[in-house]
Amino acid sequence: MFWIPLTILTLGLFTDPSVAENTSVRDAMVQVNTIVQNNPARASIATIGKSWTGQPIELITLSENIVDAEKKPAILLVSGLDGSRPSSVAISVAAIKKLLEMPEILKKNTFYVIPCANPDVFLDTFMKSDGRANRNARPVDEDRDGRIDEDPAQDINADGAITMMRRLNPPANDPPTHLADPGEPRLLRTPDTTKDQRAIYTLYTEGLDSDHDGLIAEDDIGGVDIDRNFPHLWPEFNPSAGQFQLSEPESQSLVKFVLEHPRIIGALVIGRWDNLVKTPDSKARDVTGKTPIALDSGDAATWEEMGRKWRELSGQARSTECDPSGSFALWLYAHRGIPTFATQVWGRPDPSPVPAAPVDPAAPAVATAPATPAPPEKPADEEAAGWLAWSDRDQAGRGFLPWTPFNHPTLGPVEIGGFLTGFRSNPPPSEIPKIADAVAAFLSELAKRQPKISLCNLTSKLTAPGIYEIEAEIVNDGWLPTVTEMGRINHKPFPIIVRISTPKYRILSGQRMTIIDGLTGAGGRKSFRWLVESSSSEPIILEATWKPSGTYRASITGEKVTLPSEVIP
Amino acid sequence: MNFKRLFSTLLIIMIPVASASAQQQLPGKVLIAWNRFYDYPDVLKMANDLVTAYPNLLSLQEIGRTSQNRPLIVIILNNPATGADTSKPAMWIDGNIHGNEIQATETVMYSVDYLCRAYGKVPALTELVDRCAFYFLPAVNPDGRANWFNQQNSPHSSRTGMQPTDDDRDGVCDEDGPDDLDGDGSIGQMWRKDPHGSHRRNARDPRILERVSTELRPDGTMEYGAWSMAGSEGIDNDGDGRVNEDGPGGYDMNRNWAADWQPEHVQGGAGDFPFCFPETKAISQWILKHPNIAAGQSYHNAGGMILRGPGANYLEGEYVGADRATYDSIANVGAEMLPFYRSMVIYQDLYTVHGGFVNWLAESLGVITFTNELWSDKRILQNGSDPSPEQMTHWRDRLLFGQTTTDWKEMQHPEYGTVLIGGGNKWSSRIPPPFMLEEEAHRNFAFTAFHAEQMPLLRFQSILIKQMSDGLWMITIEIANDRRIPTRTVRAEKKHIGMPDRLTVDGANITVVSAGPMPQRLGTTFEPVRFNPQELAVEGGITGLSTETFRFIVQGKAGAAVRVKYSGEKFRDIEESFTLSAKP
Repeated sequence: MFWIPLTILTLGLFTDPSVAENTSVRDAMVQVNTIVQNNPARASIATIGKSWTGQPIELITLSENIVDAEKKPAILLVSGLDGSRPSSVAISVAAIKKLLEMPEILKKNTFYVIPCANPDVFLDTFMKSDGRANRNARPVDEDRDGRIDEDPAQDINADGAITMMRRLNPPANDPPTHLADPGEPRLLRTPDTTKDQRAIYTLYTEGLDSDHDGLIAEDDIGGVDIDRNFPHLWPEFNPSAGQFQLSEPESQSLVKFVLEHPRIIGALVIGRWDNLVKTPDSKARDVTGKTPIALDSGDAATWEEMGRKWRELSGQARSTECDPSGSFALWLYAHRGIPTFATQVWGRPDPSPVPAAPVDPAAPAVATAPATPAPPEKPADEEAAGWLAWSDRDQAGRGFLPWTPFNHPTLGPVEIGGFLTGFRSNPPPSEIPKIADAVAAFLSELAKRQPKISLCNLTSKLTAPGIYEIEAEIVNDGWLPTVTEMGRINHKPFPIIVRISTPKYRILSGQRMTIIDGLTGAGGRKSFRWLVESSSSEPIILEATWKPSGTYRASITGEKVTLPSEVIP
Repeated sequence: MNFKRLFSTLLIIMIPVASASAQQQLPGKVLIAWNRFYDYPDVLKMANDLVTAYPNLLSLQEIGRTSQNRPLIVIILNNPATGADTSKPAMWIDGNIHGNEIQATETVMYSVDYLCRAYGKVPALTELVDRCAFYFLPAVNPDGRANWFNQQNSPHSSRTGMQPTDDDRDGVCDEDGPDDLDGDGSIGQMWRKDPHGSHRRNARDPRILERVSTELRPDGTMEYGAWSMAGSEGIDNDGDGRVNEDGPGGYDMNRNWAADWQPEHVQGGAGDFPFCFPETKAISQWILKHPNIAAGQSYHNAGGMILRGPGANYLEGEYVGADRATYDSIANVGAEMLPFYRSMVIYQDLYTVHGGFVNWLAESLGVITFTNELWSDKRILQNGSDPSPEQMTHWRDRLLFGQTTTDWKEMQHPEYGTVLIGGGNKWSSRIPPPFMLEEEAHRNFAFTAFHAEQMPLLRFQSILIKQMSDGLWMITIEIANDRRIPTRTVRAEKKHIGMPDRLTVDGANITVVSAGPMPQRLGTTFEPVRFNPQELAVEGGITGLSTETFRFIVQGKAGAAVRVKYSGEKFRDIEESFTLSAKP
């Protein structure tokens, strides 16, 4: 079971809900093994690397004829990067099941699924705080005192979760930063000086000062945040970003896999970043001015349309802002040119309306109408207030532990409470099948829209004795371009190579080999013309190669042309 | 008793004896000719011979293998009698990351040899070796070096490592490199015959191709030469219509380091990701395990430059005043030691570099590091000016007896028709002629010795004990750094690189009540820390040629033993023991 039953939660429980989530991750990975065993011809499982603690990072390959999987254009699905999103693993596994029910899609494409890219974050031994949820198990001395992981976040009041601590009227050495939000007193906000608000609380992650340095929970267990460890916009000197780009076995494994599988033509990453519900800014560039932050303007239309499709398939209307610096998804796009879509799969639901006060039928309607109360002040963080309202009205309050007094050994009286880690990033278990269907449908949509190259309008004409004029066109009948605009910048995706077999010294016009970056989508085309010295009986081979789908080979003898009947992978 | 102080006392006694016998003649236990270049197997043999000859100073580690499975070696120079290498500040010295920049390796090996020969004979160097460790990596790119020595190359080719790379995106690796068409063992230049050519052969010396004027003649006609440049020697091996567009390798390992690394569309040759090559990976891992590296030098050629970062304009602000002063004070001395070398900043005075090695050492690891671009053509005339083409020809004729040039030969080229092939061979530029190699190596070695000498050297300048009341003591500790390089660069301090220095006061029968730095050395107040006063973290370290003062309030009976220790990554820890007593 994914979630601890709600009743227990509301009563105050003594088990960590994140442990239950971890169980669900393990269950999903067991389940995926069974799925693969039951589909030996169409699915396989392999290990692409190991985590810091040595757990395998598993890859599931789906393709109609599994032995030919590497010869087809491939679509990649990655999840389980974030410890705060255990549901993403179950969603990917359910999507695998769904994809296996789509034989047409598996005929043309291969799907690579890495459901749990960062297995260490789901280890039971870590009760997760928000801060450490995404870090792998590498010991990091965050406070640089020579002792490692010695002051972790802890569930010090034994309410089953690591949340936050707030300290009222702290002493002079610990100036307050927050106050209870007048719009929603359970939430904290920074003071709005125009309203004469004063800070009265300091905030900490729940924990002790185990190393007696005056800082609370500042050297947590682990680790490096895998989704901050990739080279594009890598946040150097952020202790959780790693000592250098790709310093971690998990990120190295993903990169190695991608580089060794050049036929990947599209990817979906389920994690903390979203570029589907909201298309990212496509104007912003990094410090070099040569690489977009998240999206090149030439690719914006593609992302807009795929985003529309995702919203339609999933019904997701909201996403959470997230800085994607150093993420896997950003790297796949910016440094490899792969069309990479990122999704949180689920956004904040609308809370049910506040139930109306019961109307007393006996009372005269006009006279007893209550005076309209003054509109409550808007909470500073309306998103958080929305989550809280949803938790209260629709989730029996399971998402937020109320502030509870606690006598802290070094801080004195504090209150402990706040949102549960993962509450805002994991859909209720009942929604997982529906979301997995949307994920599978989105992937199949990508497959349907993939580039489709053809070699056409091929003619050969004798223009003078012994001289033939050969013309041909290559066309992309798919909706997606063969190369993103980003790929035209970084030159990493496969180009299209057009070759003619006539020896160089008998080509009067045209190139023996032409390399083009690619074709735009929806009918993008490029024409070619050669004048060659040839004879009426000499066979000439004309080839157009786009590595992900293969080679289209036409033959020409004199004025007779034969178009390719099939693609040579 | 301070061990180091004892040691320098011993040295002072040694000096008259040693200098009387040295007189700059330093016979070595291994006889090495420094007027020639060495292929990599010879370099490895030389390293082994030196390690065998000086077992008390040298040790050798194979730290990894190259793409072509050549060993990468680090030679550690350390006197174990004065402590483990890791307990001392160390200088990292490497070279030849670009395969064609070969004299870098001889310069590194000369440094090893000279230090060993000088040890025990030259007091200044003996003291340096006893205080510091050196990590020498003779060739970062042995594959490129081997290719340069053994294949046809130009002075500029074989810069890359030798991992096959598809430079022209045709799906095939390394299939269209240059070709030695005239069989002289080098890749020369090609000029194609062209009635509208841009160049003609000089009438006085037809070996010189000179540009014709692009201005109209008085009669309104154009002047044309007979030849136009056609690139370096080679043919279109893969039949794609282009010449020499996919040679061996095709990347630049000095763009592959993790500092400001950028992908290939921003920084050509960067590789797929930082440390993607076996060489850079092995070296970076080794360096990360040696936080005692406090100085760095990486030899390249050519141009007579002492270069420091940053490599890109947007990082200018990362080299703040105090660090810049440290760099300048060392580089300016270098410019005096190295004729026709100038102190320069990479992005300003050379070109933009993302992911360079010295940038990684300086910016990611907080180490004061330079790249010297060995050899300058200004050394030909030795008057500060660059030789003209004619003067260059004279130099080659008169001093090198024509050994670095191949006469132009007219040949038929499959793509270009009639071509002239020849010109300078791979020995003709960027590297010194053998007879000048030793001087170049020695001067650069001497500069690195000066640089190494600037690694932090700490001592307790004073420890003052004052009795405040019965059983309560004020201890004021002044720590001096007698060298230019700080124990922590400002970069390291600001970015929290490595561990902060630590000042510890302890003793079985004392309690440290309060402690902190004194912002003003002669002031009366200090800034007590709130926690752990017995172990002060000193993030900013001890600035170069400067002192820092700290104050401790300690409880303990008179006579109680106290130990004071200042420890950190990039210097030798210092320690003093004393007893609490009103009289110093």
